[in-house]
Order: sequence, then C-alpha cells, then structure tokens
Amino acid sequence: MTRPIRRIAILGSGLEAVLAEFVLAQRTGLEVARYSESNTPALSAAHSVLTPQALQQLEHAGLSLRDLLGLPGSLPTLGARLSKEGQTRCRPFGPCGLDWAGTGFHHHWLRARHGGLAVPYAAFSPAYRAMQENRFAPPDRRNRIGALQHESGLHVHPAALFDRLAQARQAHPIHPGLDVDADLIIDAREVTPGLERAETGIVQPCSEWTCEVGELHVSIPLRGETLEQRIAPASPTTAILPPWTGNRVSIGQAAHAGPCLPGLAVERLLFELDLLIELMPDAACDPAETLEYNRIWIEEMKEVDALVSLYLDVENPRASERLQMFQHRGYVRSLDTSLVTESDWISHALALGHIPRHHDPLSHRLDDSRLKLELGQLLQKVNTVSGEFPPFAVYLEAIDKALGRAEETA
Amino acid sequence: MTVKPIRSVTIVGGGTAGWMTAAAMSKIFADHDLKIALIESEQIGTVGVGEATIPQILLFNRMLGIDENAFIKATQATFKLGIEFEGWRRQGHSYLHPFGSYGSDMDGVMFHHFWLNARQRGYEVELPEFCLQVLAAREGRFLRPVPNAKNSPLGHIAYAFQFDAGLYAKYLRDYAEARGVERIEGRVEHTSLHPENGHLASVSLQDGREYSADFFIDCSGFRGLLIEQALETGYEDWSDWLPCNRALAVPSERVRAPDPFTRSTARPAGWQWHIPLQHRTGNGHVYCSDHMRDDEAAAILLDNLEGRALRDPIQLRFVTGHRRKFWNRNVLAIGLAAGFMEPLESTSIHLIQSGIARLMTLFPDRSFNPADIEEYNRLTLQEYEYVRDFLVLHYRQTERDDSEFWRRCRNLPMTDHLARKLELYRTNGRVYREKDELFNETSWLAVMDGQGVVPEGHHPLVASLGEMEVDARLEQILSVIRASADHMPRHEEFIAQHCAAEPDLLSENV
Repeated sequence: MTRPIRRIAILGSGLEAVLAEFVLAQRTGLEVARYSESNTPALSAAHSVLTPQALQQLEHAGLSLRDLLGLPGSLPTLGARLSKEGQTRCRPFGPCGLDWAGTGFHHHWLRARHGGLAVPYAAFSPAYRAMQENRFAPPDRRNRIGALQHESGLHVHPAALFDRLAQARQAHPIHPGLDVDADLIIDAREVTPGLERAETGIVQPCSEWTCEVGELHVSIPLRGETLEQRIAPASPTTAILPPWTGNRVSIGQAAHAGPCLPGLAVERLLFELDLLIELMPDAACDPAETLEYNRIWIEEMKEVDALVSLYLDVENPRASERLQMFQHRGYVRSLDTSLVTESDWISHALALGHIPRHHDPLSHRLDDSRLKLELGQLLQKVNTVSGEFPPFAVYLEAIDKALGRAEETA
Repeated sequence: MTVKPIRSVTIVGGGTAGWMTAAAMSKIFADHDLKIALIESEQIGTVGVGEATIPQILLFNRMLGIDENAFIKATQATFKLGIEFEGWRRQGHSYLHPFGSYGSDMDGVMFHHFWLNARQRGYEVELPEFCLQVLAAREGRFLRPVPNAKNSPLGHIAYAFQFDAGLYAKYLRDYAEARGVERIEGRVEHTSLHPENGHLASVSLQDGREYSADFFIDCSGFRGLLIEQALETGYEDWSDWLPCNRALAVPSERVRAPDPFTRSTARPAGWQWHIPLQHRTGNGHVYCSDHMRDDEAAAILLDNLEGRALRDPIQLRFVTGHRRKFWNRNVLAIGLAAGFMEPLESTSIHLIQSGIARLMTLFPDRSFNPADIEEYNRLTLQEYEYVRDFLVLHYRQTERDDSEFWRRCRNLPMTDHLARKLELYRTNGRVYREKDELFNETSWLAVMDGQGVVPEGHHPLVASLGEMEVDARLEQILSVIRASADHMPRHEEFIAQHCAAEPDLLSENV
C-alpha cells in the first residue's frame, strides 16, 4: 500500500493561487500551504467573470452565491453583448430555444431563418430581451419555460474575491534557498497580471465584447467601476506543454499563458482543480495519473485555443474544421472536452455571425406551419417571461436590502 | 439556399438490422415526403444472433413508442440484469458484469475506492455484493425501477432484454409496414452504378424488377451486397485482436425458470452463450478455428445444453472487423454488413441502434456532403474501437493457461487506449469513460475486478474519511442493497404478472 498525499504546496501570489488553495483545502481536507513571492496580489480582469458553471463549482467548494454577491463591486450578469463589423449580437448564458422532435433548436431556427425569419437566435432566451432592456432576474422555476431556463453569472472584482478567499489564510514568503516541504507542488504563478479600469458606464447585466482587428476588447461592468481587458493572440512561443511532471503540476496561466475568453479563465482553473482532485495521486505521484491528467488537459487546452482563435483572427486548423462543418449544416462534432462543448461552439459561432448554409433535414419532421406556430408561441412566452424581469437597478436594490447593505447602490 | 432532400431510401435486407432501420425511419420521417422501401427474400435466412441486449435498447423502443409489455409478449422476451462470465478468469471462477452500479459514490469519489481502502485493510466482502443487480441476478429476481424511489437502489434498476431476434424483426416489420414502409419480396441479383459519380443507381431482383433510390442502406449481412460487392469498400481485419472466427448456434428446450441474465462460459477455444427466453433457450459456441475443429466445437456445444436441442446447430463464419467505410457514397451499411464483433457483451443490436441514431443526426440530402459522411465514419469507427478494446480486456486479462487458445489470449496485442485504462486502474483504481464510449465506468470496473486486476492503491482522499467511518458506511450500504434485493419478486413471477407470452406462441418460432 502506498502513502497518501498529506501536504500540498501552492506557489503564487495571485487570485489563481488563492483560489486553488481555497478549493483544495475545502474539498480534500488535506493540509494546503501557499507560498507567495509578493505581498501584493497579482490580479487580472480575466478573473472577473464567473460563469454559471463556475458559480456552481464554487458553491460545491463552499463559496456560496450569497457570499459572492456580498463582495464589493459584484454585479450579476446574463451574458455578453458582442460587436463585430458594425453588428451587435447577444450571447446569453444558458440555452436558447427548445429542442423539438429530437432535433437541436438551432436547426429549427436556421430553417426558419432561411425561410425569412428575422429574429436572432439569442432572442429565444429570456436573457436576450433582459440584456436589451437592462432588466434582470435570477433563474428560478417561476421564469422557466418548459425545459428552457436562462442562466446567470457574476462579475466580481478580483481584489474583492482575493480578499475573501485569502481570509485567515496566511501565505508563506518565498525566499532564495527555500525548500518547500510538500508531497505535491502546484505552480499557480500568473504571468500576465494587470487591472485596467475604465470610466463607469451604465450598470448593465452583461459584458461588452468588441472584436477589433486581431484583438478582442472586453468591458466588464462592476458596481462603481468597469474593468477593461484586451485579449490578443498568444506569442508564437506559447505552446501547449504537459503541465504535470513528477510531483509538480502547473495550473492556470502558469500552465498555459495563451489568451482566454472572459469567464473561461476561472472556469478553466476550477476544471484543473477538479481534475487534479479526481486524479489525486499518492505521495509517489505515479506516472499513470500524471499521464492521464496531461492527456486530458492538453485536449481541453487545444479546444479552448481553437475557440479563442475565432475571436482573434488567427489560423487554427481545429477551429477551421469545426467552423467548416458548422457552416455547412449547423453540426458540431461530438467533443470529448468539458470546458468547451458542442453548444459553446454553436453559440459562439452564431454570435460571431457564422450562419450555416443548411440545417439538419430532420427539422422537417415539424412541417412548415407547425414550425412557424411553435417558434411564434415560444417567442411570445420568452418575451412575456423576460418582460416580467424587474429593472436591473430595482433588482440590485432588493439584493442590497437582502444583504443588509444599504449604502452601496447602482 | 437549396436543400435537395432525399426522396427515396431503399433498405436491402430484412432481419433485425433492416427492420430496426425501417421502423426508426418510418417513425422519424412520418410526416415527411420520403419513400422507404425494404427488399428482402424469404429464401434467405437471417442470422438472428444478438438475442441479448444492453439497456440502451429501451431508448430505441421508447423512441418508437412501443409498449414494453406488448413487445415482451410478442418477442418471448425475458429481462436481463447483466452478463455472467463463467471460467473467464480461471476455471471454476465466475462473476457478473451488471447493468447497475456498485454502492454509492461519496464526496465525489467513486464507491469502489472506499471498498478498495477497506479491502486493503483486510475487509472480506467482495465488490459484487454491493450491487443490487448482482444480488438480484444471482437469486433470480427482477423488478422495474420503482418510481418515486429516487433515494433507493430500487429507483435505479437498469435492465435490458433477452429476446428472439427473429420475432423482434417481425414485430418491427409490422410496425414499419403500418407506417408506410413498402416491403418488396425478392432477391437482389445485380446492382448498377451511376457512370458519373459512382453512386449506386439501382438494384435489380432475380425476376428482373429494378429499384432505384436516392439513398441505399445495406442490411444484407456479412456479404455486404451493396457496400462491398457493388462498391468494393474493403474490410479491416481485426483477427489479431479477437481471433475467434466461427460460431455455432442452436436453440434448446426450456427446462427451468429463465435467469434474468445472459451467461457466457469460457470453453477451451472460445466461449458458449446461454440466453434464456420465455419459450426456449438460445445457445451458441464462438470459437477459433485455429485451435478447434468444427465437429469438436459442435460436440462441446451440444454436450453443454441444459435442455434438448431443438434443431441441428447452424454455423456462422466470420472475420472480426469492419468495412473500411461504413458509409460510402450513397450507401450506408448497418448491422453485419458494416462489421462484426463477437456478441460477448451483447453489442450486436446496440451497434445497429447507434448506427441508426448517428444516421439520423447526419442524415444527408442529395448532395451527400463528404464532411457528413466522414464524420459518420469517424464516429462509428471510434465506437467499434471502444467496443473492441473492451472485448479484448476479457481475453487478455485471463489467468487461464490450460489450452493453446487461452495462452494465445494472454498475449493478445493491446491498443494504447486499453493499456492506459489498465494502467490507471492498476495504480490507484481509477476508471475512466471516454465521452461517447458505450461501456461506462461500472462496466470497466466489473470486468477488470472480475478478471482479477487488483489496484495497488485507491483514491487518496478516501483516507481522509477515517477507517471506522469508511467501514461503517460500507456496512450501511450493504444492508440497504440486501434489503432492496429482498424486496424484488422472482423473475418468472414478474413476467407472469406483467408480460407472459401467449401459451400458443410457445411452440412456434423455434
């Protein structure tokens, strides 16, 4: 029988390191120590968007939505508004429309669009109109339409999240000659910290993404300020290399410094921690688990890079293949990855204006008049539901009241 | 934007594959302007192997809207909770690959890690004791999942069927014909190709009738009348991995209440199946002709029947493998025309079902987009490879060395995928399922444990729970599983109460 891991050391002074420390300590019950090279936290706007999936995982680790809502600056969000070549489209979190007759909704929408429908795909989520009209309601069964439930995320200030996670957790200083005593060493040193602030704009429940030439510019509204992020292509030397060797594993930016979409940075880190817990080795750090971690991780990063390349106009064979098949008939091949799924490709591609030429012929199991009727009825229900969402400012006031926080208002 | 929809589909070959395809298409394209025809000949028998299924068959039947009890009555079906492997690890040893899971996962860690932790401290209870399906199968019990029992193992009973494949095809034929599928009696004699694009243009029958279609589905069995004989697609031989190449099949009299599981018994040069139905028992012997003569194989089969043989055994010769393309131009092969793997894990009917599902996802129009075809072929090959690796596991992990065949099996080549799975399990008991992989973690665990693969460690987080806590939880789970099994009625009683076949059918369909 081999000896289990007893002590984990995390290297890093940023949000990724403190988040790793928090999650691993909460979920494994092992002794987790963090070693920091600086007293000033390395913060990045990349960590200010928490997607619905990230919120769920944080909840699982013991950090509730209520906790996060109570952080200074936190602002609920329904997704992103994306501008490209003079056109603006929405990409709400969660599903759009309902699958009918065993066929994905986007195929039915495509068919109707080819027949002249002018309503955008995203309009079949209640979040779409709410984003347009600056309204908000959290998902719950009262605003559920059959199987269609919109989702919400959260914008947080990285400094506030850092402080919350680092509470009562003292980092050890790193100094030359330090011999870190641990069975497993996790390198979470961020390489591109930086917080850029902009003038406060309208407080709205979505981020703004603007595609510029070879670059993505993102504005993330918080309460009281807006954070800016510029996402540019990686340098050609940024390769995807196995992050785990021996008893040392890199996570987050320390593992792969390539560009990451807002929301994906935290989701990716949580995924890495989840995988690490699932494949937690014994103190001998057997190569079988290391190899499996590296294999899964590399596949995930390649898919993330491919998706990001859609926004940055960089050549990526994987993205080209996905896009080519999607543009032909709206189909995305079944993926083995969990960070980027088939539905992510569909929603991102449509939000960027890639409209497939054909739809799944099985959509015709609904005849034309039935399709028109179903789409019309669904749209009506979606609009009714989102019309009942309160104005965002009213919702925020209610939140403040519930949290006993009267002084901070939108 | 012009979509040129497929206007006509011709399925060549009846049998399970042909009629499953016809039934599914007749349902899915019910309101669609699509002409579906199926050509089959009563002169050509069907193979009818694959009487045992896996739980995914329920999804297919539900998609068709079939009433389960009516289907069971019509096909002389029994229920199936897993597959027993007798003598595979070593002579005298047996284990069950159940359709249900072991114990209950705790704190995000799979149950068997807790069991491994206890086991490595001397705990004596075997893993199968923590599976409701194993207990129920052993005691001949069955119950469908109990609604509103979400927190009980009784709320999650996964099951499949053992049925007469010939009757199933007949049942689906009635279904499909009632929904407009045209059945054409006749034997395909010739095929003709479009001179321009090489697509199949038409098939001609012995009596001279000619049928053209936009899209053809080849369900003609091993011969691959369209995919191979007409389009010369080629075949990938997997005999190096799975060397068995013959099967003998024979039905026998039912002599006792049917077991709610299929049995696979290892023989000196292969294995024998035992599939209990309501009216008879299906038997077969799969073997490798390099190591056993046909007459020896027949003698072993007939000497090991529980009841009297109802006819002479029929022989099937096969080469394990698959067509180089499952979909080539405007011809798609389904069932044995697409490929063959021995029915050790009851995958034959499932591979038909998943082929149909993939076709529905990638259903073409008349432009036959190469990307769609390539994707279908990629996904199908991946599924075949995963199934093959799972089958190889059964042979390769044997401890048997009592015959040349089993000594050969111990040295069968392994793919990287299988080697990785085994290494991960051996190290710390990790079991992973690739996305789209048919066999889940429980299946891999059941067979690896059953074949005697013992992990050196377990998930390290189990240790944080403390030994007493782990032991207490194991005991609690054990008692819940035991009580649940006691609650289940006898299999034959359940059938008698809900879905017994008509007595007059019992003498037919042999």
